[in-house]
Amino acid sequence: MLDSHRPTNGASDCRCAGPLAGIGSLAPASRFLARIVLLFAAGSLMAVLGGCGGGPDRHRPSSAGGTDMGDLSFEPGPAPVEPPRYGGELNVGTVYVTLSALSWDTTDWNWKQNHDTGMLYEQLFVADLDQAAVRGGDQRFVSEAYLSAETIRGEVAASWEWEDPLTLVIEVRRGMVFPEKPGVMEARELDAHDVVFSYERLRDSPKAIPTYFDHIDRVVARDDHTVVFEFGEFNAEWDYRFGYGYFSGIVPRELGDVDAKDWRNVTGTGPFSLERFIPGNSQTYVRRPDYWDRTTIGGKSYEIPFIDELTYRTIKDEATYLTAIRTGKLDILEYIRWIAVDHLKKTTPELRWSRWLSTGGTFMVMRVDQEPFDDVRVRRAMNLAVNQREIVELFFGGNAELFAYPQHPTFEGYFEPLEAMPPSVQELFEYKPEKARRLLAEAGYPDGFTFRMQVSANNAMRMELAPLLASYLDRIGVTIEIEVVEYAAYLSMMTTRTHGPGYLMASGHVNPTTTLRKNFVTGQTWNPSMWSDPELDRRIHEMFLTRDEAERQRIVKQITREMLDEAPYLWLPVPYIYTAWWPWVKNYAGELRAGAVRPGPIYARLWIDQEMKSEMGFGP
Amino acid sequence: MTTVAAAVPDALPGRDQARWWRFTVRLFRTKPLGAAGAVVFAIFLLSGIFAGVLAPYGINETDLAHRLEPPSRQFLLGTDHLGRDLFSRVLMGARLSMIVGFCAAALATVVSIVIGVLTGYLGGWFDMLTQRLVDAWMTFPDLVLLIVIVSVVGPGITQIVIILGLLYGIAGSRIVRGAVTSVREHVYTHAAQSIGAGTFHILRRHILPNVMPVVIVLFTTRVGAVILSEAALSFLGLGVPPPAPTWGGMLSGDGRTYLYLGPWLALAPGICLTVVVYAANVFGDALRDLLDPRMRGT
Repeated sequence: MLDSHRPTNGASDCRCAGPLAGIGSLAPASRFLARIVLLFAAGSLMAVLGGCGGGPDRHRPSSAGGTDMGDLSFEPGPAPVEPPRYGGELNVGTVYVTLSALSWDTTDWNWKQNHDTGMLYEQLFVADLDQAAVRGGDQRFVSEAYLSAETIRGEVAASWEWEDPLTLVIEVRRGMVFPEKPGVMEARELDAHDVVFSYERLRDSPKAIPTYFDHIDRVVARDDHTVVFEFGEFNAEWDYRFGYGYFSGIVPRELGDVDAKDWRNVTGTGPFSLERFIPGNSQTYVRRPDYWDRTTIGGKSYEIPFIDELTYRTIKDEATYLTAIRTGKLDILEYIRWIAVDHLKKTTPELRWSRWLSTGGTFMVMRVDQEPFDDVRVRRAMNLAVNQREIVELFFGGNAELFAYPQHPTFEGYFEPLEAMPPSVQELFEYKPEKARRLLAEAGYPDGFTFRMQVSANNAMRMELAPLLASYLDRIGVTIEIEVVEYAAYLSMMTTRTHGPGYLMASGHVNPTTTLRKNFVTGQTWNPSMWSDPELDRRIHEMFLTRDEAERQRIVKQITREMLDEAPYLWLPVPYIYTAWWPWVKNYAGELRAGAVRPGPIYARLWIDQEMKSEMGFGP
Repeated sequence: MTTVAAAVPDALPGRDQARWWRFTVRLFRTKPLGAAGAVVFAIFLLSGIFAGVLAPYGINETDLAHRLEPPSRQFLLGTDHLGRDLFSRVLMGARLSMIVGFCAAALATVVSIVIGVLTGYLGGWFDMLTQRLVDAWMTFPDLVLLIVIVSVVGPGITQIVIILGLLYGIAGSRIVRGAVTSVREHVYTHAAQSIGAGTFHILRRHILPNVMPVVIVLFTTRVGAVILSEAALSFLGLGVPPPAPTWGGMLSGDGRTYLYLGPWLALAPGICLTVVVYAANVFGDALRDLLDPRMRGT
């Protein structure tokens, strides 16, 4: 039995947005100016990069201030009828197109690892992609790390059952083979000892997230194909923690004898092998012809993967990756801001689109362990000083939800709209600069103050939000010293607790319970505000122990309300993101994750119509 | 470069006011383009100095209701994606560019003088060793060095000024050294040595004044180069951090992202950058021509 506490994560968005204003809406004089700039660019710094952009649509209906989730509605697509074709290379700009692989070693407990190793390292559970919309199902599979019980199937786990309320027995699938890897291992079948090794290796890492595996007493291999998880206590998200979550990859035991941080040693039972890694540029995976899994299309079973080669392109510059999709250098670009959409649609009408509400919240962290943010009045003043509705309407052109964090609107049964929140929470999303000044004065800062805030250089949206926040806060006498930092250093600042009193970041929703644990439990790696409250820790622990989902939902809602009210973050709107792909990419409708930021199984199931690609002028 | 140095003593303008005046008139009469460059450069310099007075709006004053508005009476150069007035930001960008340009060029000049004068005058093993180090330094591409150093020490006006100053200073020392090696062979230098003048005295009274025209030309051309380098760093996200408005930063961020929607975002800082660097360069060229008699009439 899989824990059935989860709501479905489908029904998360629609196919694409309506038209936005763009270059076509420019006045002739503006178009003339645009041409002048292009000419001018040829002889200057701008010559190296193509332009991009789109138009803000000031007429687009906004969902600001409400819970209008009309954009989240979703209609399943028809199942494909054409037979798949093998071969070809797929170039992808993923959701994290600006970021290179940060680590290849599972023991680094790096959030992005699944994204980069998820096509090699398989896990106990995976999304059942046969339920994807493109195959006639009703699931989008865009959620960052949340699979409902109905959408999960076994991957390494062939079957599983509870022997008693705290003992889970998993039968390991037969026929999953680690390929020969010179210098690392001979080809052999994956077995139960690999599962135990993978778990213990993670558990014993000094970088492990505190409390993450506390619910497990031990994991043992009963025989070569049976693994037993002995729980010390129930945990409501046991299937996520070491099943399909961020830290669930099954690695070969031989990895313990080599340098696991070296990408050349990375190997798993997945559909692809890692062929090349060029930091900051690309990572290339090649098809494994002997992969165990298959997919059914049109009632017929096929070997996967279909494509010969998969390449993640790392492109830091927004204009460049937009140009790459436009010119066919990328087959899929998973992350496109609304501002670029209209222009892309105009210049490249052949592209297919999907739109999804970001599965990560954007907010400015305020460290509650330091002055002045140790005072809730100051934190609330920060929220009141920023006009979030104006940001939704004008900065995002209506392409954002005012209130969608820490719970995601698709977390049915756990998410409560803003209207259902207490007045004190609702107030945090109102623009009240006068009251903000008053609160600051009461807290002992009548003349405001200055604080340092880090922002990652790798995210264009947050780079634009930073000066906007600075401007809002400047109106109540608060000055932000913006510190732009490269992502690796930026992340390291948070994990080593050297980040400033302010820290502009995005953090995934993950799932309804993890979002509370990681953000607010004492000592958690992803608790950047340094929130620490033993009573809250106890209640969140109690939440994980609760088997009854209705009761768990009640606890989640209550804690969410309280933490919103405490305002450890300056809450900001959650934007909609667009994904675009060329029509020659088949059996694909914008699915993003088959586990925790793990797109590997998705890419294994799509194919490329190379004939169509050639006919469209993009062939070899 | 040594041709400039060789002609220095004869080309040295007088120290009195009349000679400076005559020099200025000569600049306008014989090098009108260079003179125009000087005027344009002066305008940008004054704009930067008085940016606080001239700017109609605060440089970080956002107004989302007026975002991406084209140039108008209300907003002379339009607004950016956050509704900030571009004219005010370009003015403040001029200030930052001038601060960086002048400070870094000044530092570069000082570094060039120290290295160039000492190695050029003392010669011998000291000259040999120092110049080989300069050779090694010059083998690295400027931009790569800049990116590496700024990545390590972090962005900021002070860091940019120091890094650019050192980068251009060390490379420019070769020019000053060339001038010094010429001047030290002149009779007046030998005369000073023969009457027992000390090294410092000779450097200060005889060498340095006679290489000053080279130094002046070096400084003026460096200003333009430094402004361009700062813009390149800002373009790459390694310059002065936001929300400070630098021309390079405006080109790379909003300028490119919103190129089709608001071309004025790139046009304004781009034109300013081009004009001020061009002005500095033609002014420097004119100075070089006037101070080198062998360049006259070319």
